[in-house]
Amino acid sequence: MPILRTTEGRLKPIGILLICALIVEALSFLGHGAIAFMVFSVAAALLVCVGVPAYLLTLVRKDQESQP
Amino acid sequence: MHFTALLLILLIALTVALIAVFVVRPQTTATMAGKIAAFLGFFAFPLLCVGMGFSSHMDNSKSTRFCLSCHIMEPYGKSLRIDDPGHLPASHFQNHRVPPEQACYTCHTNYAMFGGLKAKLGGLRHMYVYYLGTPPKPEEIKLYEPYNNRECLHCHAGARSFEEGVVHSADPAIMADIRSNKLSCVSSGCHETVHDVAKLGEQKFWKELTDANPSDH
Repeated sequence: MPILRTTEGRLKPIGILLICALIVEALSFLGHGAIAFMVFSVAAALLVCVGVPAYLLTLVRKDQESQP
Repeated sequence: MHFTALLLILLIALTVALIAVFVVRPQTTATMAGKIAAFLGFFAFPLLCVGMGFSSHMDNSKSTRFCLSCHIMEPYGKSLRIDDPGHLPASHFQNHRVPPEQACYTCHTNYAMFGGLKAKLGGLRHMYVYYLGTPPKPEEIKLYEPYNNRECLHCHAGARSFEEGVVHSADPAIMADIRSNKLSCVSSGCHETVHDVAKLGEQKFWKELTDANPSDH
């Protein structure tokens, strides 16, 4: 996918993933029971285990478009 | 909604807005200021949101309302309103010997080193059994370990009513056995009536002046 070849292009799906996880995290504060805690845990795990490492990976990967 | 939860939702909104800028206009990261903003939006703020959210949910998990949110715990919530001073949890709850909004946690946490963590792991185990396992009937629920006197003595040790109690002080050996957990506080003949949920139908219940329910705390 050409859009994922640059740092800017790779930020888009990561951003959408982070936004979704953050919205779910915010919604978990509407509840007060065990289900709210589990919803929060899933969102937090998604953020910490997928979203943030994926962003850090984009920083260290070179843009493929700039390769000769 | 609690003030910290509101603050956290504001932070989440700010983070979402910041990330949305980079989703809509990814070229913003080309400048140094853009790179710093991206680092905040994609790394620092989300981690802050997770950390604050975790802390807030952990606080909430200590509440009576949280514990009673599982249907299986409803009879235990009801047992806090039994109109009988001999019923140990009810007399503690109704006389505010434990904070009513954290009644379950106060007695069922572990007052040893890393006890809070152990209590939380126990709570996760409850959730696993409730949602993914086969939960027992309310009257068949048992503690993972026998109730430790340490949890009672955390508040009662040194209190005049406890130290000078007629039975407690009748024989020095009794007090020594209580302190060393050899003689359980909830053993037969002592404070034995604890969450007698099998006999809830035979009980009279205390009606609070305010129309609050334990699950509202």
